Amino acid sequence: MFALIQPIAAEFILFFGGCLVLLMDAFKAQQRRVLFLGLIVILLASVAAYSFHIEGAFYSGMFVSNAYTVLIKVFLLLVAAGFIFSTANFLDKYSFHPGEYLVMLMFMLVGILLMISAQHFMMLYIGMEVQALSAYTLASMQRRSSFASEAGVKYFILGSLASVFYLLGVSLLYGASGTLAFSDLGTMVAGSSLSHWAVGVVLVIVSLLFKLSVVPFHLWAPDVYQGAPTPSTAVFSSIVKVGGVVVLIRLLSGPFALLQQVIDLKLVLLCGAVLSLLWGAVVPIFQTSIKRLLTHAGVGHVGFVLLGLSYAKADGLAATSLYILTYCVTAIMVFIALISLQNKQGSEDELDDISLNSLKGIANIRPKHAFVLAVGFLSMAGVPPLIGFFPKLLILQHVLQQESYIALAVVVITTAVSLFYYLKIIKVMYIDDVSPHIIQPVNKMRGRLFLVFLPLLLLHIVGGYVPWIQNFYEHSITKGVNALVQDQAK
Amino acid sequence: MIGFPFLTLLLLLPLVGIIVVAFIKGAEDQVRRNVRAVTLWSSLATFLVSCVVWSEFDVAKSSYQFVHEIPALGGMGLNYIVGIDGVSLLMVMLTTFLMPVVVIAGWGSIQRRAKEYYLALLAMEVFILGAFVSINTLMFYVFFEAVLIPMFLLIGIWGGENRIYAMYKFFIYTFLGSVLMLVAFLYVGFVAGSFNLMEWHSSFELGLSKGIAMALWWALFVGFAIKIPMFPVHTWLPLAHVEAPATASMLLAGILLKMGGYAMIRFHLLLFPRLSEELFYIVAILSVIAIVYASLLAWVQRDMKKLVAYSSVAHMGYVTLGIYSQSKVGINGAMVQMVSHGVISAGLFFMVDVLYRQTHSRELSVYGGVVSVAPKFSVLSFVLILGLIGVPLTSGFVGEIMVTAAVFKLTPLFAIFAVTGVVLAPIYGLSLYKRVFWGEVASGVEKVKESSVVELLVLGVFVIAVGWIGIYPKVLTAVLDQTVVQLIGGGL
Repeated sequence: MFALIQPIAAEFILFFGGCLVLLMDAFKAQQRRVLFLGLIVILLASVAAYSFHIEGAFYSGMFVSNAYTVLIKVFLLLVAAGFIFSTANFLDKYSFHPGEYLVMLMFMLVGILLMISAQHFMMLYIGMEVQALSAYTLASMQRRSSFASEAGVKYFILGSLASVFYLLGVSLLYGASGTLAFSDLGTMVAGSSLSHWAVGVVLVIVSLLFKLSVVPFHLWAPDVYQGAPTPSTAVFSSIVKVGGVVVLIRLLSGPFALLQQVIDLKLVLLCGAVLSLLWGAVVPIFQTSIKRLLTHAGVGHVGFVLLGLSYAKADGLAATSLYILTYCVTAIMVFIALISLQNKQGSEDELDDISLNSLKGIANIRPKHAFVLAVGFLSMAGVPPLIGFFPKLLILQHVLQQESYIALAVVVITTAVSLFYYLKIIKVMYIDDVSPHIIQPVNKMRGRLFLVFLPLLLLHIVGGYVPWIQNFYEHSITKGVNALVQDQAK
Repeated sequence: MIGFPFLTLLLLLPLVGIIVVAFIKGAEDQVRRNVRAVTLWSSLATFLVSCVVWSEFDVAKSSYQFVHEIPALGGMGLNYIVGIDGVSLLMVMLTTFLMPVVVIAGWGSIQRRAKEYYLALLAMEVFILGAFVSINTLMFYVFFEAVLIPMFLLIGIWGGENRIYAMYKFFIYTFLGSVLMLVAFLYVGFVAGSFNLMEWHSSFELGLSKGIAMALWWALFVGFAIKIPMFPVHTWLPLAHVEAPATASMLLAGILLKMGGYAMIRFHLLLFPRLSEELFYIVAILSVIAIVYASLLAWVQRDMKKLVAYSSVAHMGYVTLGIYSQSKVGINGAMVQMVSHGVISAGLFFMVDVLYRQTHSRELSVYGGVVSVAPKFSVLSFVLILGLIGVPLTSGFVGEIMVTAAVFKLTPLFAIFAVTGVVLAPIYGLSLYKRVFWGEVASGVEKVKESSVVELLVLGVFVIAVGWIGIYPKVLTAVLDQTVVQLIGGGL
């Protein structure tokens, strides 16, 4: 009996744990207990993902489990646990029900885990839909806020459109090959209609690029990210992004790797990367809302990621994985700091937003928060000695090795330009005088916030130099990615 | 040779200072007192350790000394490995020497947010020292870049009115140059198979196609030229100097600019000796333009800080000329010039600050007759001005004459232009002195008092350094000789 669910134990625990939380919430248990239960379930799931791990494909080849997927799963679950742990106290001030929020977050994680492990296009679709439906709900969680509703509807309609593209692409692939399993797809390529293949692959990729908000499929992102309550935005810009990137990595190293004679995805991805990098360098400069700024900056980060993905080489994919994981941690840290800064007084109907001006002079009032934010932003900008520098370094190295000089020039210029808006935030926090409209920093840095920030800060400041990260990169990520690439080559 | 890892200790001491400072709490006044004491002591301790390094340094060797490696530390191409040769030793000495002086120079003038100020200073010392002692190129790059963050805050928080624009310009200018540099480093490291400087050789250049070698040379050159700064990309410097607080100016002129020159010697001469020789004329033209043009600009400045800043650009012109002449005399001269300029410009910025604090103006027109109200101060300042204009027996003379001699051997034409700098320097230097110190006592100057003992002490230290190097430059060149000989011999 247990052998049957062993490969999927983490998702299993998470899903039924989510149902349990839902039940507890329905019987009006104390919020603290509900959140505590949710935390325990997520931690249990991560333990299960790690300890019940067996290699191989399961359930008629629909579901795969290997070193790489386990690594990502454990990472995501731990990040989610840390996020809930540190923000649990601040959820009251958002006008939504923390229990519902938690349940949706957990179901969303189930979806992402399924996506990561999918070995079949239908499985991937189910995972994506579970994730997306939870995400739409998370975006419109604040029922009385018109901005949140707008965000939810926008996300829903455009997300559905992306799903339609995905289904169309998949059906074309099915028409061409007669199979939807990742493992069989590549072998079917010869002798069938090439245009079906090409269009199908492009449509699937486009739907994923939409999820990652790559230029030119990014226009939904700013409004959604800004309108959604900040905790949801935090999840969208970290955990969801990791899910999307990992699926791309698995597709590019897996079924699509053998389709190179049909369609050269490199050019598609490189175009997206370059456009996103340019967008992410220029557009955030003019933003006045931190959430909007981070969204546009996130577009640039995804551009970096695509640059590493484009060539579908093992070292590039490993660098990309490190990049997105680092970015995820940094983004979560920044958002936790922002959430803990926010003030209770924001009325329910108003936009739950943090303007750049409200951070003015925050270093004088809350020096620790300001320091955390500064480290986070500088790390995103890739300024050494912070950890964000290293994945950028690896991707740069990869691009250099591929001798793609145009992309290189774009990276150099955009890195320097994008520094400007990160510095602008630092300037606002450290140099400007305290603004009268400042969000009142209700929360001091102590207790669990301190507990979360201390290791995160250490990771960001000395992370690049301790052997632990190096080992993590070399032994876990690189090996996982190599296994992915080699599996396909067999 | 002592096996003790002195260089690691050198990096650790300011770091300990940072940790101690970070935990100091209490009333604002109390914090300020304690924090600056801790900073002073840790920077003095660093200076002492560097003196030990100096005395233990074996001048007969040309390879890296005091090499210390911690294999566990680092990753992704970056490894902790430190070591020094003659060139980096001088830079380390300059840094550790200037740091306590800078702390004392800002003793009373920093009132606001003292803790953050001293944290930034100490962080800067760690990063600068790290850049000078690292043998791993990526480690060098990390430190080289990291210096920008504390400098950004120093200018931004304690700077003048137009500081925001100045700090953006400073940061983004240098960052753009550095990213180009990083790309070149990555390429070289990728081809050479290592980021360890000890494994980079001058034969590297021969294995590359002409186009790639050119691209790498230019990418590195732009990065270095912005940092040092050279003629077309020097515009961030006067702005940053004018807006920066005096202590940050002292560090900027004293040490940060030298990182560009250091990197030129360390990387360009090591990797591309032939190409650098080929492109010498470009560097020479730019340097000569810098010398003449910046000197003329310095002449017409009305702001004392700007004047000193432009004079820095002119003096750095000699440095680049000397370095790319690739002769022993030239490189030695460039190094002497860098050290000497570090001392002189830091001293001059301190002089300007002493006056500014009392009159709240840096306009030349406000001043006049300082010599009659503050004679001791004026005498010491005069020696610094003499150093600035390169009068024999001051350190400024030694570097310039060596560089000019080296260039004369190579191409007399450039040397003739370079020599005009020797004429132009007295024009702006002496006119600065004349307008500020001589003549009638201006109304703004009446309230200027004779300098305190501490201020005289700081100026005195600078004057002693200027005189010492000027009279006995062998103290620097002896350390350099072997390293430079090996360098122009083309690496190992």
